[in-house]
Amino acid sequence: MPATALKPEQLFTLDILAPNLVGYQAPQAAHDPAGDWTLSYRLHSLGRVRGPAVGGALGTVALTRKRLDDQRFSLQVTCQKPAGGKFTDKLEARIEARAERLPVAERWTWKSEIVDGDGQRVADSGMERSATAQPDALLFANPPRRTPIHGPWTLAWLLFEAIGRLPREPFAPLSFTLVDDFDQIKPGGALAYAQTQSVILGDRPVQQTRIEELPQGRIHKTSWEMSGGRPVPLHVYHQLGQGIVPWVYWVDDRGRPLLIVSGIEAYVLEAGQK
Amino acid sequence: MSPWCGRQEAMPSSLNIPSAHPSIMDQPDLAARGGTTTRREFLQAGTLGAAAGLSALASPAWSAPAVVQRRPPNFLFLITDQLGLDAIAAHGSRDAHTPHMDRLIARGVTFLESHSSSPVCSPARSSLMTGRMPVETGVISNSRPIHASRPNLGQWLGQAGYESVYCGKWHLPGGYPAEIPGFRVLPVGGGQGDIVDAYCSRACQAWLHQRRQDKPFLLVSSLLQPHDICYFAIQGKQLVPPQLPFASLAGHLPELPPNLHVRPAAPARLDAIKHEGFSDEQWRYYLYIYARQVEMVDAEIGRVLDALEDSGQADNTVVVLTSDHGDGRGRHQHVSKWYPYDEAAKVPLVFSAPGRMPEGLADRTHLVSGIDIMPTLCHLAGIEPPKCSGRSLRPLLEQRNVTWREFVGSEHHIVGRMLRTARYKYVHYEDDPVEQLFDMQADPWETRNLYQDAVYGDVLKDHRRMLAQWQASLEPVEPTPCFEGPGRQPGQGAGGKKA
Repeated sequence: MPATALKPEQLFTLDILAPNLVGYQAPQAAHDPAGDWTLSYRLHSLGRVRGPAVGGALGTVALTRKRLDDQRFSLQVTCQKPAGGKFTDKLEARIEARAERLPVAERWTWKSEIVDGDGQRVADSGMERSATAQPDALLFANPPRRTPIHGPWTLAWLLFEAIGRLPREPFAPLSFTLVDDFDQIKPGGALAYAQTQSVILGDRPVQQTRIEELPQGRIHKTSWEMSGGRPVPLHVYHQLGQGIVPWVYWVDDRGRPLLIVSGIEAYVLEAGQK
Repeated sequence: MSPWCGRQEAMPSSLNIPSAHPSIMDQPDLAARGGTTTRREFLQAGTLGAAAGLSALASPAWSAPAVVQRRPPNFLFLITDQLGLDAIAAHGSRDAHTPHMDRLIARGVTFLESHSSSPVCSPARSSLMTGRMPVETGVISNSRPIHASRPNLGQWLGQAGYESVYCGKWHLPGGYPAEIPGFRVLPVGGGQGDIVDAYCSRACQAWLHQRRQDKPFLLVSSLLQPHDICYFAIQGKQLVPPQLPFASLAGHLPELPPNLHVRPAAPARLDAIKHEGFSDEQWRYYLYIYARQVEMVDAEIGRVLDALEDSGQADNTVVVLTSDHGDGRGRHQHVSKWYPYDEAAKVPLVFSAPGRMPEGLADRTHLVSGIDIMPTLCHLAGIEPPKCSGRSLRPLLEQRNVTWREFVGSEHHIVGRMLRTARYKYVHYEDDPVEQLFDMQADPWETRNLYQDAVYGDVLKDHRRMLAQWQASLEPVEPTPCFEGPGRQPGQGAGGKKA
C-alpha cells in the first residue's frame, strides 16, 4: 500500500515519491505566502534503474522570501548538490520581483560554482551573472547579452513563490514564457489549478500479524502495512510547457508548497520552517 | 525528414557557403580508398608537422601523436544521451522545439546517415572517444573502462598541445567521475538529466568565460537528456499513468509512429525486447515527455553555444554535436535502446564552424558513424590520429568527391552485428539462425524482414560477405571488466568477482 493512498477519482498520485515520504511530518507553523519566510527542501532524484526508489536526498534547496514593499519582494535561492567524490555544485541567486499573480521579475543575480572538500572553488568553474528585465528583452551582464522576450513571462524559481498565493480553486490558467534556470527561454508555459486532494502523510510501515486457523493447525501470517498517517488536504497545481516535464505542486492550506514533483525530480519541504 | 534534407542540399536557412575553406588545413583526403586511417596513411599524406614545443607525456600503451603547423581549431564536443536523429526539429520532428540545435544545424553540416557504433551508452561512448568499434575498445557493454591500449580523444589531443576538458556524463565506467585519463574534469553529477544537465552547462559556460589559456581546447560537454525517458518506461505505472492527468494535453499529444505494433521476425535476443502495458494514449504521453526532454537538452546546448559566442572564441572553434544512441519512441513497440532499428541506431552528427566549413548542408548519402569523430577532429587539428577504425569526415565536410565506404556497422547485445549499406540494413546475431534484411529505401520504417525472400538471396549473400570482411578488419581486444551494480569495486564484475 503506498504511503499516499488516493481515491480512484484522484488524478494525481504521489506513488513515485512514497518511499521518500515515509514518516513525513509536514510543517505545522503558521505561514503567510505573501510575507517573509524561508522554506527548505530536500531534493530527490526518483529515477531508479533497478529496485525501489530509496529515501536519501540528493541535495538541498532553500528559498527565502522578503517583502521589499507592498508590491515587491526578493527571493533568495540557495542550492547545494554533491557532484561526485569530494565536490559540491553550488548555486545562489537573488531575484527581485513584483508580487503579481504571475510574478514579474525585475532584476536577478546568480552565482554558480563547484567547490572541493575544503570549500575552495574549482578553477574556472564559477561565474556570477546578472540580468534586468526590459520591456521586450532581458539584458544579461557578464558577459553582456540581450535576449528578446515577448508577452507575459516569469522566472522558474518564482513559481515556487507564486504557487502559495494562487487561489485554491479553479481560475483561468496562467500563460507565459518560462525563463528557466535564470536564462533559458521556454515558450508555451501554462500554470493551472487542478484539484484539491486528501493525501495521507506521516504514515510508516508497521508489521501486522494475523493468525489463521486451519484444520492442520494455527499459522501466523505477517505483512507490512502503512499506518499512523493522517489525511492532509493538498491543493494540486500543474505546470506545462516547452522544455519542461510537467510540474505538479502540492500546496497545503496555509499556502506552503509541500511537495513539488516534475517527473523524476522532486522537492520535499522540510519540517520546522520559519 | 524535413523537405530540405537532400544529398548535400542547402537548407533554406543556410547562409552563404564559402567556395573555399582556407582555414581548414589543406591536407589530402585520407579516406578516399576506404578502410581505416592509419599512421602510415597520415604520414604519406604529408601531415606530420613539427612537434617542436610540444612535449609528449608518457603514455603506457600507445605512442604520442605527431603534430601540427599552425594554430589548430578549438573543439566544442556536445554529446547528448538517447537523442534520436529525427528527434530534432530541423531533422523533421514535429513534436519538439529545438531552436538551438536547429541553429547549429543551419550553420553547419549535418549527416543524416549517422549511426551509433553500438546503441547503448558505454560502448557507443567508447567509440566516440577512440575512433574504434566497441569490440576494439573492450567496452562491449555498459560500465566498462576503455582498454588501456586505446588512447582517448583527450589524451591524444592533449599530447598534441590541446587543453582537454570534460564535463558531464562519462560512463566509462563511472557515470560522473572526478578524474578521467587525459582530461581535466569539471566535476558535476548527482541526479539525472533534469537536475545535472543545468549544472553541466553552467560549468561549461563558466569555463568558456574564464579560461585564459592560449592553448587550443577540446571541451566535451556531455549532457544527459533526453536519457531520463528511460525511467518513464521502467517506472511506467508511476510516470505514465493509465489516465492522462493533464486534460489540456488531450488532443495535443504526438502522433503514434506507423510501426508501433509492427514486429518483424528477429533474432531471439532482439525479439525479446518489447515494451508492453501502454495504451495508445500512454504511448503518446511517453512521446510527449520525450519531446520535452529533447527541448530540455536543447536549452542546455543553447547556453553552451551562447557561452562560446560570448567568449569570443567561436570563430576558431569547431562545434560537434552527436548522441550515443537514440530511443525506441514506440517504434516496433520499443523504448530505450540496444537494438539495430533506426530509432536507436541513428543519431545526429553535426559539424559547425561558420566561415571554416559549409553551412546549411545536409548530407544524406554518406554512411558515417561515431567512430569517425576522433579521426575527423585529429584531421581538422592537423594531428596524426591514432590507428582507428573510423575515417576522417573532413573530405565530406569540404564537399569533395571521394570514394566513401560501402557500409557502416554496429554492435548489438554483444553477439549481434548490423551492417547498413546504401539501400539495405542487414542484422546477424552469431548465436541465432534468424537474420534480418530491410530495404531501407522502400521500407524506411523497417516493417518487412526480407531475409527469407528468395528475391533477395544475392543481396543477403553480399551482406554476409561484407559483414565477414568487416569483422575480419577489426582489431578486437579483451573485454574490459564490468563495474556495473551497487557496491562493486573497480576490478570486480557481477557478483563481486573479477570479471
